[in-house]
Amino acid sequence: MEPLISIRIRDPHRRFQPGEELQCEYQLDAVDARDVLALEASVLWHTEGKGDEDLAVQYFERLVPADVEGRDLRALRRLSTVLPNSPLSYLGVTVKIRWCVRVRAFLRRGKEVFFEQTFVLGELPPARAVAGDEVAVAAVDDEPDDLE
Amino acid sequence: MTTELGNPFSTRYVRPGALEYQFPPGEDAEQLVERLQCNRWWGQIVGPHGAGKTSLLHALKASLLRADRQLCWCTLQSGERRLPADIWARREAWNSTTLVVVDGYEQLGWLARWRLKSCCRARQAGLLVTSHHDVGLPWIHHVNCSLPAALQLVGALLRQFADRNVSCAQIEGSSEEVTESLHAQQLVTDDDVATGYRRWKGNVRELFFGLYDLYESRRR
Repeated sequence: MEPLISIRIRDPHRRFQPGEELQCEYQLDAVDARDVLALEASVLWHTEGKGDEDLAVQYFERLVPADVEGRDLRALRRLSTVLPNSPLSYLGVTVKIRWCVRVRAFLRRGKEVFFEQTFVLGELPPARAVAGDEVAVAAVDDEPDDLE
Repeated sequence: MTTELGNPFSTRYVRPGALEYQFPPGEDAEQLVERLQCNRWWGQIVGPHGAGKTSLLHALKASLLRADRQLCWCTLQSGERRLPADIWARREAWNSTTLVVVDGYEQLGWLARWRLKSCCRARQAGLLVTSHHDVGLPWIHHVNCSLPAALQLVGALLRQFADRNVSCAQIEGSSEEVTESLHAQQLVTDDDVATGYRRWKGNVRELFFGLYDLYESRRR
């Protein structure tokens, strides 16, 4: 069975304003404690779209068994961080900016598992594709080669 | 819904290495690595723009490491006529277990190619390159993504995208998001893929870009 990572952001709506505090709980399960070499939790934003991705980390913590009581990284853990003023979450057409809490577990034999929980920072409205834009694939099908 | 679904054709899902390479029937990574070994670890992977040469390199990586190759990996961008300085500076450490991998070999000028080959030969290192045309090395594979392979790739992307979103939505107990995730899978049809494939003459990278736009225009 694959190890399970659960992340629960305290605010059920997962919407925050700049300067607000994000609180969340995370836990690793379905894995033997001795198989977990390290656990990393981060709060970050990344871009998503057609181009290369950009990313920046707002909060980061890395734990190894020696850092915790009983050397068991599977216990429920909490993190909190004050969110910055920017960049705000943005759902564009060509590029999107997403904020998330990411938990990554490093296991024996070089195995890694991770899980992300997204949240929204700010209130930017989503962008919309312009009506009639559905030309990228379909409408140009009969375009002559010399126009390409 | 709390956060909007992404796009299954975003770079993070279609970049080389993120999506399983579709080998032609009867071929796999182990076979290609064996072919490379038979050519004393020298070889070329040839194919047109966007056909999947870089993806194939990534698909071979694990098998190459299992074959005890020390990889010296270099990806050249358009107009890079010489090997990056940091790669070239390490050439003294190359030996018979080194495999120099150059993605985009055709970018190198003739002098840089000659120096690289001479150095690999002198140090008994292997050389695996990708190129748009024959560069005179032993043939390892000719990459050409067929329409059935492109359909399979798109099908896999849409399935993985739906699975990922459905499981997230189920964890959160959002039936609305489950429905939307399943609906998203139907926004791109096989006909769209076939049309795009013809439009971009088998360039799968361009096909994914086109399907990204199509998906955005239909989702709202």
